[in-house]
Amino acid sequence: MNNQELLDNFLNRSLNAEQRIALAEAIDKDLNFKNEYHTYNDLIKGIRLYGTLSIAAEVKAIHKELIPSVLASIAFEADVTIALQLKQKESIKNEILEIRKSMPSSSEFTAKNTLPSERTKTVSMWNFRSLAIAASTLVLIVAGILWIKKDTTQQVIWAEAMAQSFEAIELDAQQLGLADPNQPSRQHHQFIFNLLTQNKIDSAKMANAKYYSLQNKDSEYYLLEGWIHFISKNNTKAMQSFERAMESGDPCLSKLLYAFMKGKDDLDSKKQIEQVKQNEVCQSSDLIKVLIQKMAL
Amino acid sequence: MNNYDTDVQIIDAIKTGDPEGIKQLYHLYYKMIADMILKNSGQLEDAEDIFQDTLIALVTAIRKDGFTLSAKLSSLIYSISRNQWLYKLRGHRHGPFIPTDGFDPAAEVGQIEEKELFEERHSLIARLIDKISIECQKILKEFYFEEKALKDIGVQMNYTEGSIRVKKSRCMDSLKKLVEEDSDYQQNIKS
Repeated sequence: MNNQELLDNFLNRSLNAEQRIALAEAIDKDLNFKNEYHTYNDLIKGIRLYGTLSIAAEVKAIHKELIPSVLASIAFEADVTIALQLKQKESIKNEILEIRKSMPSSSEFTAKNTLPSERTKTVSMWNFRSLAIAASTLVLIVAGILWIKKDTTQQVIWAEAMAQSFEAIELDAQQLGLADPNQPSRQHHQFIFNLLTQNKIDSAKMANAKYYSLQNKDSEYYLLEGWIHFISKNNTKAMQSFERAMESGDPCLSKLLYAFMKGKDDLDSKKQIEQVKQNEVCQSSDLIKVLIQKMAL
Repeated sequence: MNNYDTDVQIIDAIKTGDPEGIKQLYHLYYKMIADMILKNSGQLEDAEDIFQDTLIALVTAIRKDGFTLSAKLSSLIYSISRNQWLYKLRGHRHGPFIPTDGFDPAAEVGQIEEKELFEERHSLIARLIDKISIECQKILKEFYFEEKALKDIGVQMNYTEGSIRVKKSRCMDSLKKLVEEDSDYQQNIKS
């Protein structure tokens, strides 16, 4: 075995322990051999760098050639997706309107069981045409559940509060702007709300979990988790999630939703709503202002 | 243009140096990685850099002797890109990124080595390799970078095992001579 083969075997660790120790000692004792070893090591590293640079050049050339068309194709795909979503939304909206037409009893029920002040809000809700899908779905679900269970006025109130919150937050999530620094988070929020309005609960759960698998779970995560539980009709879990959102640093919206779920007439809820109204940070949010105004709190 | 529909076809294309293999990776997975980067505080330029680095690491691994695909190509690309992006985000300069959320990148990227650290003198040597014969470049690259067995290189180049051993040794000697005569390299090792 010549020196080259010996050093190759030493560097690729194919010598046994005894041979390795013997060669290491030889390198250490003989200055010429030590220099030869260092040069040889450098040559191998240089060859590896040469290999890496060749692949980098190959990838770079393909990147340069392909990236404009790949980006154009992604942009086109995004446009088509948005167009399809709009089309689907329109079709769901029409479907819901058809269902509403064939179910006059549910609207009568809502009118009978809603307080006068709330009744005014139910009408005003229809002034927001863009909110029709989310709101009408929820109002129908809530009205249906309450009609079956013949629940109390108290429950009607919180259900309406939650329904109105849902529509206001959905509207907020829709107002995307390119300059918005929280755009990815808002897009995620909107995506989850879209799934919820289509009653795709499992997809919403998975999408939220997937999104947050890449970052720490924050108040936004628990807020969305609360909505998912609420739409799944799991009110206990929804309240727990809103509570965790509060604990994770949201002193405004989560607190308000938690209070709505406990019921507007609950003493603690009143206190919490008052805290939100007194909090300057909360008052700087248009969404909170809209909610408080809509609920005439 | 050939169609590469399966992971195996893409890998075979990359192994044989057919550019369509890498192109297919762009068509299939660039968007997935760009989405991941954009959703995690990155810009489009970051996505381009990370995807290129991912492909360099992946192609290097694929072209090494004995590469076998242990996961889906999409999972592998996602894992490498995610690791690279988290590593960049957290500003680590030394050592690999150690995730804290229970994700084990080693499960999918076991064959992808972390970036090797090179110094200026290695860049000098890499440039000098262009000055040796094409045949020598190929032999040395395949043996030391792609980690192919000398015997297999010999078969591929129609040399007996003994002849390729002598060839490789001569190639290394000619590179060594060039390096030792290079004043920049000598200056570098002295400093």
